[in-house]
Amino acid sequence: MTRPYIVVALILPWVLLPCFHSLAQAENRAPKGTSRDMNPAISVNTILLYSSGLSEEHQHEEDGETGHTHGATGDGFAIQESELQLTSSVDAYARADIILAMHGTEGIELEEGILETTFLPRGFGLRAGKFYVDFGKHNALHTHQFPFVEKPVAWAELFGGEGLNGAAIEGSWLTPLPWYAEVTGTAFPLIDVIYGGTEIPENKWGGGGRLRQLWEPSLRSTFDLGISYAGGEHETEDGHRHLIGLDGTWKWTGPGANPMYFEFQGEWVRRVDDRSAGTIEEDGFFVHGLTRLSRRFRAGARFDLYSPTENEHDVSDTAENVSTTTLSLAFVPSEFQAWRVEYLFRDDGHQSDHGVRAQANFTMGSHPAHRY
Amino acid sequence: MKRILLTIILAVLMSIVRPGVTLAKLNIIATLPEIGALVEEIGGDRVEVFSLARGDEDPHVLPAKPSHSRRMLRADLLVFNGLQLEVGWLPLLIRGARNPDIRSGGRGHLDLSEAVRPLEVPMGGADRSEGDVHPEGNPHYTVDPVIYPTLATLITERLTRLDPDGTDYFKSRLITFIEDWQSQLESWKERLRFLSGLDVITYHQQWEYFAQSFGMAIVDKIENRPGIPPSPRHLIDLENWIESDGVHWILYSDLVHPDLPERLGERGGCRVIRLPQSIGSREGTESLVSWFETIVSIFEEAHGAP
Repeated sequence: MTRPYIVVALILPWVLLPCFHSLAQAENRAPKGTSRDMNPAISVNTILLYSSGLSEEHQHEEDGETGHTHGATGDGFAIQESELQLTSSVDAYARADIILAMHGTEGIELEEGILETTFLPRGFGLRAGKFYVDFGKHNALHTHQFPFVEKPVAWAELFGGEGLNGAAIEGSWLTPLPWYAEVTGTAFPLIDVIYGGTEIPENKWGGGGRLRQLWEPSLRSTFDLGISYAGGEHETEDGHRHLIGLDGTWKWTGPGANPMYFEFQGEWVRRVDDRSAGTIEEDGFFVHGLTRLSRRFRAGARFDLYSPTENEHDVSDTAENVSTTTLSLAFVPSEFQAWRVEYLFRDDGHQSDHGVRAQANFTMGSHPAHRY
Repeated sequence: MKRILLTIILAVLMSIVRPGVTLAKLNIIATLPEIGALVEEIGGDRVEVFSLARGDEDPHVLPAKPSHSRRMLRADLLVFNGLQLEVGWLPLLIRGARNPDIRSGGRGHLDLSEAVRPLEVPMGGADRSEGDVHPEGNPHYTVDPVIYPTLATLITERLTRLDPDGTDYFKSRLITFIEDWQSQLESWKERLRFLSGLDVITYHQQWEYFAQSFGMAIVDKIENRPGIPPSPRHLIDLENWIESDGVHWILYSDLVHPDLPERLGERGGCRVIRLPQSIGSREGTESLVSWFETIVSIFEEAHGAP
């Protein structure tokens, strides 16, 4: 007579085998954390800079001011910035961009960290995180995207070194109008975006918005017009800070594999500090032209002006306008590296001076395309 | 002011009250003009097609104009080449359009390369030192007329899914297209029999699919690394090879500046042939048939010339 445990021993594997097989399959399907398929696209960008002139701290003696600079921070070679960007879909409903920046050779900061919806219909979008607020053209650019080595003086003075960048939530709508018209509305804590982290407690919020429109006057050209606003109330005084901007761009791109292009762009910004003690108004603008000379060479010229304007309630200093003219020549062997040489002439009402910048800018990895 | 207000209100209403796809023409965006033309062949009166790239524009580096995003906002279907040909601009346009239907995974997202067995897929991964290599393989399959019936079938399948009421219409147009196309194809193959066995040099890696279908051998490229201008050393090597009678023709497309290939052909004593790489890249290439007819005629002329 067959013993029962032998029967069980013979039958049990056949009963359990499918279970083990299922378990094994489940284990194979389970994420092990070793697949690279779902990894984000990674890119690294580094900018090397040589500066000469227009970068020393100086003092306007007649004003009795403390020393200050307009533009770059020092002569000589330096690593201007390195940027690590991670881009990926998060899931079926959102995508994300994380951009870490290292200015010089020390300290890493989160330059942008954006969660963006991908499921909203009818042209609506939502972004949340830390990012460059949608204000004008230049503010949204990362350093390696700047059309010239330095940002215009007014942008450095009015927006601070980091630009209008901070924790924010943004809604946008691409309207179904017969031409391109996009409306953006943003809410942000003032401490990050408008005041650069000084004096304002974190619970104070500000807001802004932008209307961007674009037309195609011909098959090869576009005309882009934008109006922007950002602002919020002061914490310590009864008043508001307002930023207003206008921008316009005309672009023409030719046919062929290495198309000729021309770009003319202008942008104007104004900052109004409306306080009980008076109003401080400052503004600035730039106009630039860019073109392609040949397959590998680009040229550009820019004029920018910063005006710390006075009025009857002026509580600002009496600084003069600062104007800068920049001429640029770039050697671009591929879309992943560029070498630029620039000549700058600056007049700040007290003195005029010259400067030279040389910059190498390279990108490794899978870097997303830049906005038009 | 009232007129502006009325326009804005109408725009808002248009965005909310969207007509059902079965009541209106399907709004279709194609990235390349030849893809747009093929969609029109199948879709007929039931589709409205807009092609983002023009025939004289380089599809690798098309400017990502926001106006294209606006067109894609209300698109029912986006049909694109794939194999990363449009990777430099299409993701930006899709993102800007904020239309979930045409995003990856959406019902209106159609990558035609799904129907293609890619050539020149890099072994062991791609590296930028090799130039603008496409990691998923050579993306220039639309210059090969042999592939069009397969592409048309894939397009028909998607059109019928988006517009079920038009199923019979699309299928009937597909049958007509394939019959006509096969007839043309047999004629073109017959007229181009002389291509079989020819050794050619091309400027860019653009004619591989065509060469495979018509029996040509592409023995080298002027751009030995895609997207990168050739080195003087490589040009000297090519010149020596051509002089030693190892190469019959040099092929390049309308997009390329003629100086380099023409000079190379002149020095090496080799015939140089300029071809339209896309619909609309030159006069007389406004339809799929006229485009390929032009290519065939150019080859015939080159073959017949002394």
